[in-house]
Amino acid sequence: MTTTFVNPLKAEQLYTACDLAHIPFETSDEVTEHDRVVGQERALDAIHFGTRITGSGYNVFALGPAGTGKYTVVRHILEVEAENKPTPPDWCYVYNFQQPHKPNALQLPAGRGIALRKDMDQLTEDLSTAIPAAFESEDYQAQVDKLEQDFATHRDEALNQLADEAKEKDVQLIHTPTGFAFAPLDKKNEVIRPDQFEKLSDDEKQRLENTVADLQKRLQRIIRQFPAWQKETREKIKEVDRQIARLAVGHLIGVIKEKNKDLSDVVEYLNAAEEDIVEHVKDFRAEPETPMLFGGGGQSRAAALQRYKVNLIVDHSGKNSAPVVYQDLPTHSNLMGRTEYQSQMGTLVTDFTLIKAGDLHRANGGYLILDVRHLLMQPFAWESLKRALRSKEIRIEPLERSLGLISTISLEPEPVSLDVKVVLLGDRLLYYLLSQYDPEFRDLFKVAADFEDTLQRDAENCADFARLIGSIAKEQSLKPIDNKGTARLIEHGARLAGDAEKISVHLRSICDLLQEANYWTGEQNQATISSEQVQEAIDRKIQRLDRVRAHIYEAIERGIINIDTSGAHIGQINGLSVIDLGDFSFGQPSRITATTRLGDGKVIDIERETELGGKIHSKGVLILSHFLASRYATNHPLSLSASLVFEQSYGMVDGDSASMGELCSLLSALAQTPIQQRFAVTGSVNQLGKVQAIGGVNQKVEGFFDVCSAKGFTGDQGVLIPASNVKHLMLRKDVVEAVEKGQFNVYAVETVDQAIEILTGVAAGERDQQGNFPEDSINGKVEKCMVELANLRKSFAHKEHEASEGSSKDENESTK
Amino acid sequence: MNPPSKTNVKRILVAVDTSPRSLAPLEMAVNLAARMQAQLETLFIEDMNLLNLAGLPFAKELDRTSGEARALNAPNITYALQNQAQRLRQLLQTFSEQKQIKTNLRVVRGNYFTEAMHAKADILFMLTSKRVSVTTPGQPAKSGSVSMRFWNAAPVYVYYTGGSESERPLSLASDLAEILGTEVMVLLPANNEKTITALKKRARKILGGKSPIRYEIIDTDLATTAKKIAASGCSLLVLPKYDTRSKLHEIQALESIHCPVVLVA
Repeated sequence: MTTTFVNPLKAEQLYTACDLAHIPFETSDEVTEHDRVVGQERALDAIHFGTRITGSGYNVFALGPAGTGKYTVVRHILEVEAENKPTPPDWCYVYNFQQPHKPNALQLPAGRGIALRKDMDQLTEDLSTAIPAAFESEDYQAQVDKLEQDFATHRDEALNQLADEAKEKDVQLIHTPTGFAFAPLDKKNEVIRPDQFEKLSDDEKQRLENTVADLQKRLQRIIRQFPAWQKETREKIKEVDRQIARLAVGHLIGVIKEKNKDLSDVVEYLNAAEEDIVEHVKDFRAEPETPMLFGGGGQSRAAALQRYKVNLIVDHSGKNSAPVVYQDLPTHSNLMGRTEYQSQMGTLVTDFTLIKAGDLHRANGGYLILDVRHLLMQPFAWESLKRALRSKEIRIEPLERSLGLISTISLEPEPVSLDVKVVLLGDRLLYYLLSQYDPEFRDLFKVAADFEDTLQRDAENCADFARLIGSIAKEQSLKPIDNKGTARLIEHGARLAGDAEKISVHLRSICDLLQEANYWTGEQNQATISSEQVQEAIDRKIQRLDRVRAHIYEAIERGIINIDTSGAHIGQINGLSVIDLGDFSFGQPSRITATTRLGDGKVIDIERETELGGKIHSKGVLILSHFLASRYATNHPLSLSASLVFEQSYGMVDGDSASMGELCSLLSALAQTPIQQRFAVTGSVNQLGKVQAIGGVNQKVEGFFDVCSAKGFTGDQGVLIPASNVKHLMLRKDVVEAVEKGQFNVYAVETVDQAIEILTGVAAGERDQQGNFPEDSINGKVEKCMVELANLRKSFAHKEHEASEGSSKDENESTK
Repeated sequence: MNPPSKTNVKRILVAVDTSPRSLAPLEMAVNLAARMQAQLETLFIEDMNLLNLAGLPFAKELDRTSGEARALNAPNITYALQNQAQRLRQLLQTFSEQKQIKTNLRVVRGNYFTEAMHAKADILFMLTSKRVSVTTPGQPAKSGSVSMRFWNAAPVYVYYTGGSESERPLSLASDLAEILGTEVMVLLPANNEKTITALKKRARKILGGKSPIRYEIIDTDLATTAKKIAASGCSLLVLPKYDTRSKLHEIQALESIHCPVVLVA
């Protein structure tokens, strides 16, 4: 029997260093300005498409992991696009003279909103002096006095005419404290005394009484006409007021109308304002506000004149491009705008001047960038945004009213027409969830800009990435970074990508590392960031984060967690898993054991039975059980019962990267051949025994290396990894050096047979022409074991059958 | 002749009855009293005619504003008069505090003219017109400065005969014109140019150029002149009280004058 042992990987296969020839500078001082985008052509095309295409719903969702520079890229592109777009109009809210609770929205060309506001403020100020002056003129006073005097004369004449008529009938109209009375007179023109009256004849008394009664009725009719006459006089005075006001207002407001004659809405508003000023001219004549206790006495002058103000909510004066707005706190009111209130004597009041613009107002005609996670976390913000995009208008509505929580009278500002491109930033999961569960999402966000996590590590991209690093260093005023430091950063980017042929474009990590390297450069009194400082930054960061790893490794070293790095055991193998702590992940060796006995063909995954195993892990175990059946029990039932367990594992286990280790431990148990504990294994297997790639290969290799290092190298220790993972290897420098020195080994295997041969030192064995495995091979031993188990099961089944037949015969006899 | 001063004007009297018009001179009198540091006495005359009327079985009054008829009887009238007096008292109290003058209210019952003319005072403000009116003169339609200005714009008329008894009225008219911001119109009863010139010269000497002065020659009796004055507008008519031409019956004859009349002792 021959073995075809796989040779360990060479040191140069464990780490792909960056070629300094690919770095286009000696130090970053040589770098000119560089776009902060590398390898995102797909996303960039999508954003350009999304921003330029017109049509409903062509908003953009930039998806990708946080920290890949989505915001920077999107903002940069939008700002460039915005330069080519016209400056959008200003927006104002003004008083609605017909329906005061529904303020009108006015649209003016950029820069003219502020002019209108200024003009209206000036108008109010001018009218505050012009109108009182007009009303104090001799002409006005004379007109009003004449009207009032006419009224008084008319009234008094009517009274005195009746008084004269009464006098002719010897009756005098006299004043009482609260009115008038008719008194009959005697011959001396004095009012008849009661005793005199008594002496009169009945006819005379009756005559006087009738005369007085008749006069009283006539007086009553006259007095009842007074209010109508007074009203008529008031109307006449009001008409005079209107004429005077029109004269005072006409010229001043005419100047503003002339300035805005091209804007029909504004002219219409000014006409309405003019009419309102004429109608409410008293407000301009009122005395300035005086403080009043408990707010009695009606509207103050300032409050009355408030309605001629212009509330400029969006001002684009001095701008030459479309706006690009980013909102970090996209609440409903921050997006849609709000109506604020002010407290007056314990009551909350509002008017159109307290309407505040939202980000949609500010971004209208341009671009709005929002973080979708922040947006979704704010109550009703997402629904409000969708409603605005769908209806193409911004309607300011207090949330409490939308929800029907209050029904008090408030403002209903006229909606503002909306033309904005919204760019949402978020991770892929949110994009897919929204796509699936929100039926409106795909109608409103038709453009997906999918940001890459990595880029190909070729010469061109390395050079681009190097320039990007140099550019960041310059932009952030860091010390210059040299080509070696840059190369080390690129290598670290490959490590972050988990692939020697890729570079992670997680810019935040790269920037952070650069910042930290800059710090250590300063600490070391160096002028330039080089590879040593970058490495220092990497090491220090790991040191800050590896408390958990240190404790686990210590436990292994002290024998609390059982991991053997020497010796050999049947059915026991060192598996490898990755523990992720957010910014840091590391590999942890775990002991996997397998036991076998006669059974009905089930391989029990103890992790799953105890609900500590995930679905992918269970899938891996099922695959290996079917591999056993298909390879070793083709002609007889799989009469095996096996169990697999991660020893000393107290948390969830998932993933199928342990399936090769689990299979090897099973084979060892079945073949009764010990596995060398100087190895650790990672890799998944398929039903045909082929080894497949897994994740976290670097951390796993380093994990077992660290344990061996702590326990002492024997020179023959190593890790078995899938051959397809070799291209992912970017191992630590100390691991590579140990391999170079022959202290440690990494084996790349393609099949489970290769793995078991390395692990046991026994050939796996292949079927001969008769279809039999060599007897002393692993496969031969396993198959032999399977046949024995099948026979054993068969004999058990036969005995059981006989026993059952015997008992039935006894039953029949006893019946007879 | 010296103008009126605090030394020789000690008591200013205003005659008031139930008519709102009769309150018109009160404010002028207050200002004059403050200027001269004289005592202001208000004579509230409860009109006997009104009390007699209240005793008649069919007596009714019509409300000034609504025209509603109410029974008029002695208890009601007495109560209303007391109320009116009380309000007047409060008003005087306010004036007293504002202008730092001494005020006094005296309530009498009788005929308005008789009681007013018989009251002792250096200066008497009264109304001679018997016209009824809903509002106070000077405030014809509504309260406010506009109407007051119009009223005040009319000149202060003063009857000047050239005798010593008419020197104080002339001087007082000048003071009142200054208070009201108007001019003095001097009525000169003369029928020849020489007398007119002499009267004007004396008048100018008395006034000493304090107020703008105009002259009007009258050649009829005061009652006839009063009608002319009423037609052209007048804010006050100042007369010497003890002039033979202005005895009670003559004063009563001035009923066409709607403005307050000031009689100077």
